[in-house]
Amino acid sequence: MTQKTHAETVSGSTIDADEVAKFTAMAAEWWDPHGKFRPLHKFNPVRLAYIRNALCARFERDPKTDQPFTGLRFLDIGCGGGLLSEPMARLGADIVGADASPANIKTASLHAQAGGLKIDYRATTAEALAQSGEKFDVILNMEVIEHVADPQAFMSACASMLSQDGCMFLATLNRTLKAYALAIVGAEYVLGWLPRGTHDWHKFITPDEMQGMVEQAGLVVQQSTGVSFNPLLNKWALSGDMAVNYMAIAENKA
Amino acid sequence: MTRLQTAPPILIAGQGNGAKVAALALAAAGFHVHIEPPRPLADMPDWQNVLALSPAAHLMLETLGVWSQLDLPSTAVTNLIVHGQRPQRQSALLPHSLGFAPNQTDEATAEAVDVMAHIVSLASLSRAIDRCFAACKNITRLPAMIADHDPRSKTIELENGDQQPCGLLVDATRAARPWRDMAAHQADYKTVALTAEIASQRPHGHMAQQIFTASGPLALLPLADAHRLALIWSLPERRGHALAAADAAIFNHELSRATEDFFGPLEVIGKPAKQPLLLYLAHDFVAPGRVLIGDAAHIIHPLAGQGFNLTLRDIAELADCLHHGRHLGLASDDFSILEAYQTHRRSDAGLTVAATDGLNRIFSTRHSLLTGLASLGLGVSDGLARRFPQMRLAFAAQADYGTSPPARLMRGENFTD
Repeated sequence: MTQKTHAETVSGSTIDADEVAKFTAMAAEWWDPHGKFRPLHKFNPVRLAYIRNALCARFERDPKTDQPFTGLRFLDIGCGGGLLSEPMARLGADIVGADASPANIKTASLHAQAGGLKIDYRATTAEALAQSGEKFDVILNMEVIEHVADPQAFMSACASMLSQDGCMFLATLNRTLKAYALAIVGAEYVLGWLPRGTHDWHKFITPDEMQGMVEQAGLVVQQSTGVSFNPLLNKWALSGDMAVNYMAIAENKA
Repeated sequence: MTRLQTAPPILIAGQGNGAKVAALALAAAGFHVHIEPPRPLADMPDWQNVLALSPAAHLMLETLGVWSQLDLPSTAVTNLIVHGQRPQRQSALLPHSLGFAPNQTDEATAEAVDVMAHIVSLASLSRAIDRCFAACKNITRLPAMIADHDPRSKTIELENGDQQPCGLLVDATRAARPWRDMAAHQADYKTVALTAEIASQRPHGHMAQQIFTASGPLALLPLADAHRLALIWSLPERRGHALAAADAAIFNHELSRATEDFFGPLEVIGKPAKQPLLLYLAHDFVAPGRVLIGDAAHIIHPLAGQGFNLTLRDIAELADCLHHGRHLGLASDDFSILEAYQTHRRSDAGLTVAATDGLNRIFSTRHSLLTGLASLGLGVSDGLARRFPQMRLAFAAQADYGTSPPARLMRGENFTD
């Protein structure tokens, strides 16, 4: 992504009224709980709680305070409409939200502005950010690696931006038959939770492959957990089952 | 650095006790709360209307500091006696105890007796809530009533034309409001409830009595004075209005007749109050940027104040959901918060309402209105309990807490604990 796109996106000064209307509509879509990103909204509390608990323990923050992440520098890579960046900002994080899609960055910026949140949104890629020498205490690499063209290059670029005692959160989908049944046939075709074509099963990543990429990038997986949907309670929860959705935390080798 | 401004406040539409307690609870949970301008308290005799608060509701009001502000004593009810009526027979009232202590063995001491409900004066409770409300720092009174709500721009418009930011609108009003376009289930039972303070020659012994009379279900609840009772009597509309307007001698006569002198002579103190019995249940308890609590979500039989217990459970759950959401960094109107609130509350309210409405059919008398709600925290009438005994315990727990596990305020815990 070029500097030019970045400037256009972030300053907002070159956006005309039609564009604002278009991106406001897109933002409304990203943030519409009944729209196509509904599954992400439903999924959000469980991953936010996971991030919050892990970081409070790691950086010895008081979990009872309203802004435990104050003073920590975050990168939300593949931030989309800002569903993770906004909560992090509210919790005190100094956050860069990066997405390769300038449209996503415009919509996320508009939504954050309306909510009075300061988030440094940039239309750029992990590779470009890494080249500029940026460093972060926390990198959120969630529900994005299964969408990129070269997962190892992406992982390595992210890893290179991690500060010495920082950590990277990973979340993705496992390449199992169960994931195919639930995430593609179930979520896209039967339940209609996601637009068809949202996911390509062949790009899903097994926990072993994830661990291999993490280690290739010079990090180690410190912990991992499955995330399962409970249809009776109508909510997501951490679980021991990593066959479909799973999350992990990686850190620098000691 | 990260916040250009503080989070937009939570707005509360409503001026009643539910709205005020919601403001207290949300302020306790650390939110900035703005509420519609207060209206003066209704002038009512101290014991004309009472509420029967469940043990969990009592804990919640204690936690919020309301209970210690009560200026009239409350009464703990330790037993409920339900009298079923056998038609066309003399001495028809057959007592049937619904006491809660499951095994009342000899070892049960006076202290071990479970409290089923606390009877409080509505007038006194309203004053107590007002005193706490006036002393609470995180509550701002709006200069005018809310005219409309726009969830997209996260603003409300006041009747004086002002606009204000609104992180979430908590709708706690019984009246229809311009923004409320949500579907609801409604019924009018064509029945009124008469409420009054009653003097009795016999002491009440901290027992609540419930009778299915020929003219309608009737409850007598013990007050602080051992010889005073609170009457709640449901009657067909026309008869209810006539009795409310009748003079004391006629009223006393009719009351004695309805109770077949089972309690000895009863005398009404002052004028009875009357309330229509309605049923209202919103299909959805949430909409974008908005939640319904209390009378905005459900109106049920006013007997024994189950409606207020239900409202308190709404408030405790809402405070928990919003507090949890804030800890996750979510905005107050985040979909996941609203959905969690609705999931927890709609089932409880729906069950209570369904019990209310369904019982109409179980009690096949023409006085369809059920007395279940007079069952003081049981939330289930004697008739239903006898038909489905296993439901009673389930209802007992659910009638008290609404959810499992109970919300924090219902457990007597504050947000600073």
